[in-house]
Amino acid sequence: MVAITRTPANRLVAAGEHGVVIYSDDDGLNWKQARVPVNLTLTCIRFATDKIGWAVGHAGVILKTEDAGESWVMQLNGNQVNKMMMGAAQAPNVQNSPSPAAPLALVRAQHFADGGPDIPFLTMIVFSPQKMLALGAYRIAAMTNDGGKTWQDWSLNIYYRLSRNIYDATEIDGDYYLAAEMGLVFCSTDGGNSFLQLSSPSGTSLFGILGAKDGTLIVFGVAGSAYSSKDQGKTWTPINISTQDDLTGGRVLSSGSIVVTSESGQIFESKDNGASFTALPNIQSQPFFDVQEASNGALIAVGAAGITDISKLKWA
Amino acid sequence: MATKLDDHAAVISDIVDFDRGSGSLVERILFNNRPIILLLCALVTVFLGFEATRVKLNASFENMIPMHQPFIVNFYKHYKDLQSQGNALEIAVQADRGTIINAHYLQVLKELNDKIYLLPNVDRAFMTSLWTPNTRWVSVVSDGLSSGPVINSGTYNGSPAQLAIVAQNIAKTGRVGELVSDDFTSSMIYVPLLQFDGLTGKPINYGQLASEFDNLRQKFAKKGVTLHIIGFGMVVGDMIKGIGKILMFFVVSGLIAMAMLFWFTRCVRSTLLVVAASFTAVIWQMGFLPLLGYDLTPYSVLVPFLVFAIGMSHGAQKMNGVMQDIGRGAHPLVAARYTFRRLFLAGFAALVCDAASFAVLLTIHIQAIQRLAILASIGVAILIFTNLIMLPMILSYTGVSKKAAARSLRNESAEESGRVDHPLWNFLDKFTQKKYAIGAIGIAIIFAGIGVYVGRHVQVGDLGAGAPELRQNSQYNKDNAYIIHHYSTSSDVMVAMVDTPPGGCLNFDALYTMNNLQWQIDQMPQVQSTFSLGSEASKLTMLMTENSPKWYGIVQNQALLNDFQEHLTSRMTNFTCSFMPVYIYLTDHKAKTLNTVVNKLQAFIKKPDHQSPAFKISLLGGNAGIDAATNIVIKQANEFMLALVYATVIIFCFIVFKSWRAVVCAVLPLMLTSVIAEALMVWLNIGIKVATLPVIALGVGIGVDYALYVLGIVMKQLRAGASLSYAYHRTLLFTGKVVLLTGFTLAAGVITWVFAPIKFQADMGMLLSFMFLWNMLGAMILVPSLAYFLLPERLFVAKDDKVIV
Repeated sequence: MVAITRTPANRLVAAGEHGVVIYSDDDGLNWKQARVPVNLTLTCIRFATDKIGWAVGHAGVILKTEDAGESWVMQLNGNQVNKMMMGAAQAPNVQNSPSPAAPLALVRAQHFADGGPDIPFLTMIVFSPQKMLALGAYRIAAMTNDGGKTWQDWSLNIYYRLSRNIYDATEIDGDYYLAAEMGLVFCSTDGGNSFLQLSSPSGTSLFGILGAKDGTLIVFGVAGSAYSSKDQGKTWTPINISTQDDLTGGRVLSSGSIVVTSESGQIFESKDNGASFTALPNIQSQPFFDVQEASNGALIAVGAAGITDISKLKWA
Repeated sequence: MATKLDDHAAVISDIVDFDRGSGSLVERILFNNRPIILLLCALVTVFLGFEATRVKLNASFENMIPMHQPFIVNFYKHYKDLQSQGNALEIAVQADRGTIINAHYLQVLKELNDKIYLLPNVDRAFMTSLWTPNTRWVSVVSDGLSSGPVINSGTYNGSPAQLAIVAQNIAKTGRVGELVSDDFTSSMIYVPLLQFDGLTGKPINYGQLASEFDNLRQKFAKKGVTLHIIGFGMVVGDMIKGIGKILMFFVVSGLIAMAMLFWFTRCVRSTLLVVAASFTAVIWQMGFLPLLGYDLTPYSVLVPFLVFAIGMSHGAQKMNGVMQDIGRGAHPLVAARYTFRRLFLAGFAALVCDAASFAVLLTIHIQAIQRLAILASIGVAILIFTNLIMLPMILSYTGVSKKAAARSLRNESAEESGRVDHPLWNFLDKFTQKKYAIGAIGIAIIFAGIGVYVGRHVQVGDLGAGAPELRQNSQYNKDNAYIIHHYSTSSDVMVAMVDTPPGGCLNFDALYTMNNLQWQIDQMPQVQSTFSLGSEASKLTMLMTENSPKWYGIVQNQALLNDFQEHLTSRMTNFTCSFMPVYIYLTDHKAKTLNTVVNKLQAFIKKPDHQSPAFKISLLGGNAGIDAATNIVIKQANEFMLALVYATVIIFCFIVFKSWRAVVCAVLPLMLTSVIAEALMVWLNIGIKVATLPVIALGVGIGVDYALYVLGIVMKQLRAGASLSYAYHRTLLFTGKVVLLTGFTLAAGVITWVFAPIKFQADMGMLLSFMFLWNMLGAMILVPSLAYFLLPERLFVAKDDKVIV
């Protein structure tokens, strides 16, 4: 399992390899398997309402549910993504675009078209039941404003010249932030229309981005690196997390605590909005990829070993 | 008319009165040259006895495999590429207290690791444990990939900080459940074995190997760790230890048979002679082993028992005859020659029939079974010389004890004089009457019904987990259970083999199909885990794209996949990147488990989506794959073999009886036994496998002996014009006791196996004992009952002849 989320109706829904989606209505005790039309790794799953949600994944796949995650239909695939990108790159107004990505758009679209429909979506922003933006590897991006009936290429709206992987996205007070490869961070203050580059905390790739209760921006990623910013990404302060392992996922809990998972099965917790993290002393041996708080407060982590209820782990 | 019924030739007490030229040509040749024949026998015994000292105990893996089965053919095509996965021991080292992240534990593990490293035949380069430098982790750091040994012997000092690093390194290997147990209470030492030691060049001595490890087990128990050791080497080692005990069983079987024979004859001299003759047959047979280039295996070790038991029963027949004649006052030589005359043909037919029905097993293309068939056939053929020829000849010199002979005659004449004084014979005689015959046949039909109903559930293959050769509560199977419960890689491995053109192992379609195959197989409750380049490609994709779990999966990007080349290991593909094994670790190798998984695999391969010029999936390697192939062969062979055995028996019966009605009388009881034996296998949880398949043939082949002896004499009487009741009663008088004795000595010969430490020998013993005894009952109760309907009075007699009653 790669990703887990919670619907407004407190259903836990997790997604992962081979298109598996499972859901639980009792805070992670019992799980049922959803009907999914693909056999590919799903990387991110998020809901707009109790019923309506999306899951994105490998080979440019976007799936939508309208029954709270029990059944899914495919709305977009990799071939369509490539075609869409080509269409956008060939549009007459591209040369006038202010985006630094515009000059290379056609070369890039051609390259992807040659490469095949393989590019994965890695994250998404759900604005409303109608509006959703999927983001992924090599800066691919697809936007819908009609609940997924039609999609538009959005890659030029991320103002960056090169094709970097966008790993995570989050909303803080109406602004939208992206964390990406090579330490890139983007922000959109215009409702997702254009994403501008912020200063990079370092050159290390970032896998996650969170907004703490007090508005602090926290990013983390490869080799235990993590940074916080109290000025919307203008300046960054390193956070000392005592590990060299990759930090894979994170979540702000209802209590305001922040938890971050690692590839070696550790979980780090901060009770001071990200100023300091301490490792929970567990002996989980399989990598964790994502974590979610259940409605009863239980911490449910997902990873290579499937679902783990952290509160029930054997503490060493 | 009455003269036709006379069983006794003229009693000749003085040898001078005896016509040396009487009797058949064979008899004259043999008995008129007694010293030469006996001298020849003695020479053969000395020669083969000397050969027998060269018999080697061994267990060959390949002999037990159907080498022509397509799965096995595929496996051996890829044998070189799969060798690293071949003969190995797995040792789970369990901490008696706490987890393995403990300075004392790791220290003890290091000592053990070093000890094992130095043992002969260990493939040191490929031995792995937490301490070997080839056990490494790989991780992404900010400036690329980083890797190192799980325990860095340079910096490791047992401090809590270092222990924490070891724990994290173990997690980073991603091999929890393989390298260490899921609950961190034990870790694994993987010890591949070389058939020939790298330094000395000596082949593996399995007995010695197993005892070395048993010593380590005891030694390290004192240091706070428990060893759980599994692998082919340990099974073979345990079996070789078990064969030692078989010798004791042989002695016990011999003693029981001797006691029975003595109880029957009350003559020490003749009892010892029969035992000696049967034992001579065993010596001859053992002598044939090295001459044929065969080793004594845990399978063939049972054949001498059978030969001994069959020898005892035929010897008893001969001695009975000689004893009766001597009791009447005949000279020993005359008695021996008369007995030879009377019984040689019946005995010869019975033994040839046995040999032929054993030979039927040759149609099964598993060498262990074929060799067993050859050995058993040779053994039975030897009995023709030792027990049908040599024994009466020796008896012609020694005679029997006068007292015993007189007793035998007394019993016989007492029985002959009146028809009422032997309750058992009178009871059995009742089955020639309508009421009893219907009753017996009715009960037999009910038994047959139950047998068929229950027997439908008989399974091919092993029904238990662990090493089926050994008992469930043996050390080995306990160790195996521990490892199954604590690790996700079991010792029951199936390997699906994927071939591609050279250099094609990273083809997207191949990897994607393999990955899907694993995914489907992983969902089965019978499967613990799987491993192949297909699943590793998902991990490699992630590792090569900054280690983000969101990249976990096979991306349809051939350029990206081609970059994996430098990360491929010998476990994922071969040197030319053209062969990829898919390892499937099963929960056990029960017949049902194997069947289910094989069916699933075959269904997967059959789908057009899963076929491509870029790759070809073929089945099936690994020890569980071999088991599955063996099961398939056994299943096909089982019915074919039974048909052949029965055909053989029917032909022999027809030659002897010359009446199809008599053939039906003889064969139906045998079929009942076969049917009930299958039901018994279900009840006793015995599957049809390499070890038990021969039992079915042996049971039928030997079982027909009874019918030959009983019905043969009945037919003779009937043809002479006797009523069925009269004929049967006379038969009982003449051979009834010997038939009983035969049944019990045969059963005694094999019943001791039930206590064998090796389970399949126990299974064989149980089944054979049952078949021998049940066939005896069949011959004595069902044969007359069936005869009542099939062999009515006057069938062989002209209308006007008077029936003798």
